[in-house]
Amino acid sequence: MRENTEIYNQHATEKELKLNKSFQIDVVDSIYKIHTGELIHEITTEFCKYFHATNIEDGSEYFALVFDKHFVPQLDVFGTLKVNMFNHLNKLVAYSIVKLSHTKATHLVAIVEKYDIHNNLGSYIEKNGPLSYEQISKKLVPQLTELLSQCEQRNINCGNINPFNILITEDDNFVLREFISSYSSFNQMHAYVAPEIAECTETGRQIIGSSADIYALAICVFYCLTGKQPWLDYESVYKYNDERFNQTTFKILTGKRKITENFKAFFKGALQDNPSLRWKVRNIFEWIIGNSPKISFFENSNENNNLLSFKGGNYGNLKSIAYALFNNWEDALTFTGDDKLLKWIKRQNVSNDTMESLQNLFGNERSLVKTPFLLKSNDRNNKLTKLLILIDPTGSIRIAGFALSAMSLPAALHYLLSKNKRAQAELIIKILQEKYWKFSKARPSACEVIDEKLLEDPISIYSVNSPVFGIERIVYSLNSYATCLSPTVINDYVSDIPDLLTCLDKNASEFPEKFSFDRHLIGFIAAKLNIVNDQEVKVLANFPKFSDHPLMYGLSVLNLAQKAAPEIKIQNLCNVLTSKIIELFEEYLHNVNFKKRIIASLQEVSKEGDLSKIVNILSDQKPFLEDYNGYYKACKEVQYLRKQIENLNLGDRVFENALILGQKLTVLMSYVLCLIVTVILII
Amino acid sequence: MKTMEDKSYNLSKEQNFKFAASLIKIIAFVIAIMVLVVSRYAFIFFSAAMLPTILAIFFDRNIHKCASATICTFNLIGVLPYLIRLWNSNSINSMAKSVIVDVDSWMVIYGAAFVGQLLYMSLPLLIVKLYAAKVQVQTTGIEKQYLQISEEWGIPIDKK
Repeated sequence: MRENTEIYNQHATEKELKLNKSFQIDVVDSIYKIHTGELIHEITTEFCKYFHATNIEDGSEYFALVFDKHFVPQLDVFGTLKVNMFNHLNKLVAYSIVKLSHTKATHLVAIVEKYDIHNNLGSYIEKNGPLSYEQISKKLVPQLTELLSQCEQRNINCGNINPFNILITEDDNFVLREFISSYSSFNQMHAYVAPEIAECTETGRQIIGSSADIYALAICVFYCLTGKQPWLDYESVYKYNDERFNQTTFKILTGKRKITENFKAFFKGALQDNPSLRWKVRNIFEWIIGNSPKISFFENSNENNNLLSFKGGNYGNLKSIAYALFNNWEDALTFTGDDKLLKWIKRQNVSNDTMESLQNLFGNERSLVKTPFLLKSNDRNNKLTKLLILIDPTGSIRIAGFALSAMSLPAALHYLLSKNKRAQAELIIKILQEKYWKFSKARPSACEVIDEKLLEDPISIYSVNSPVFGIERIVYSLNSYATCLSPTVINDYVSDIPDLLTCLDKNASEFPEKFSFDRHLIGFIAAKLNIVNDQEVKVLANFPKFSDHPLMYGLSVLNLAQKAAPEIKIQNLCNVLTSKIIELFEEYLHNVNFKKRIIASLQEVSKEGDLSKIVNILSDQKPFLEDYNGYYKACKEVQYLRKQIENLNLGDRVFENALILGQKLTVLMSYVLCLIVTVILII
Repeated sequence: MKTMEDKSYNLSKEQNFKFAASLIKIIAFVIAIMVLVVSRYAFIFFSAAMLPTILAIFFDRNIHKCASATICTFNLIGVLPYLIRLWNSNSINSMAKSVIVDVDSWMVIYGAAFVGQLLYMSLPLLIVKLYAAKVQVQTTGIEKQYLQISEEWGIPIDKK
């Protein structure tokens, strides 16, 4: 069955990961036929299109998820979902790289079990009212908790738990829809987004652990139990969040409702706004068997008398003031200069460490903070970001009205770059440079990262203008599963160096005139080869007009790529590169003989298809230096000669001068003659 | 600064030459006064002999007054032998009368002035031709060098 399937080893993956490539158009793994004419609009997301698919052998029906190139799929999660059996999660059957007939492009396609999207829990409750206590406590919660447990064991977030994503099977069981179709919580309904990631941009909601999923499960249980969605009564998401952080989610949802003690205990534990106090999966299991864990501490609400006024609102806890400050960033910048904020924070039972950090942050520069216009905008943003992390350590990283979790920095940066949102992408670069996540010691937290080195190493070599160390390079270094977004290869699924070389060689043979190097290509190769030294990629380093040219960068990084994958033949690429370099030399080299000589050498070595030989030819900078210096000398000489010619060719003026000279000579000669005659006559 | 100096240097040179060109006319004027003191007939002769010079001065529009200077000089060359003859004669008046009535003397005097006019018309043109030929040779040499360097270094050639 799988003779037509080639195995590709993914580079830069922690796990041993194999990504199949199907050679049959519109067919995954030679089994699942994608019906590209049958797009399912209702469930299609920004990152993946849903199509109907069938098993060629038995005719059974599936959904095919065709992923967009601008999405970074977590292939390790795909692998885990495919290999392992997850109860109560729609099954990922297969995935591979497939060429599609309607786009003529290659995509990552995943095949999942087909389901009736209308047969979901949300629609069921809208139609039939709330579920019974038994259905919730005996089926819904145990089944989803079992799923969460399985995901937690494998470090996977669902991020899509809400009633409209929970399918009801024919045997009245609950199955969660696949969550691989977008980034974690990207399409999540706002009430189901956990408080620690509530402010985050859609791409910035990925966190470690299942705390956010537990919160979503608890909200889901609340809806199933009551059939009510009180969050819809608020005029905006901001108002709802403001209220839930002030009052706590538990109080605003359960306060005025008749809920059994058993479920009240569940909500009290699972709806904790603070993720470190929120129930874990094991606590829910304990609750299921009737052994509710004790809740020793509860997040403060603003019922106490210790309220802080800001922008017309009164805030009783750190989370709520952090949320308000973030949403009123410009006002917050001046508000932080007020002593009353620090005094109020002191009264909020914050740890000594946090207080010390706050003192360090503001203590020495109180006077400057009081007159914020004296501080540069960057410094003020920086201080406010740190302040928000210190007072809300489980929350996200917030900067200049933009928030995201530390774990989602790579994906968010990729998303923003692919959408060409440079200003926000630069904010992420700043977050990476400042390492804001280090300011939070809370666990779990939206500032938590699995391996800090994975974020710190790429950003340490960042250089804004360099194609090798620029933002594209950082994106590819941070997202090892990202495909190359260069327009040159956008129709192919290029995820590693051999793929890239093969694709470039194919493009070079098909469209030689359109071939060009861009920052994505260079950044992609630099990331895959982990180039850290600028000198590795400098050809003709002493000549910026050559060394900084994208073609030269392209040549040098491709040379390194060819060394890394010598088995890939790139004769066409070599020919096109040579012709482009020749064009470049035709334009920038001056000495005709030198130009002829070097072009002849390039044409000679290009036949061998070996880029290192081309680089070798260009490695001797002496003749280039002579050409450069000689040209400027020749220019000066030519200028001098041109002036001389101009002076000599002045036409009428020359004639006039000569005529005047002749006249003067005539007068002089006549004087001499007169003198001679006079002398003769006198003698 | 240097240009200013060059200009003033050129100006003083021009003035010097103008003075030199006027010198011969001053000499002729001094001679005329001396002749007037000595003999009225001689003065009439001299005045009539210098008629080409007077006409040349009147019509000379050249800034350096080269034409009148050349004609005056040659006019003097033609007159000088007769003036010497007058000076050496026993009776200047009678000698002056005989020179005045002698057609040959007028032929010599006006002929000399005419030669001066011819010389003024032809010699500067000859010099212009020689100078132009020299410039042509120089230009060809420099242009050859210019083309060679331009072609060797791929510098665009200015065809103006």
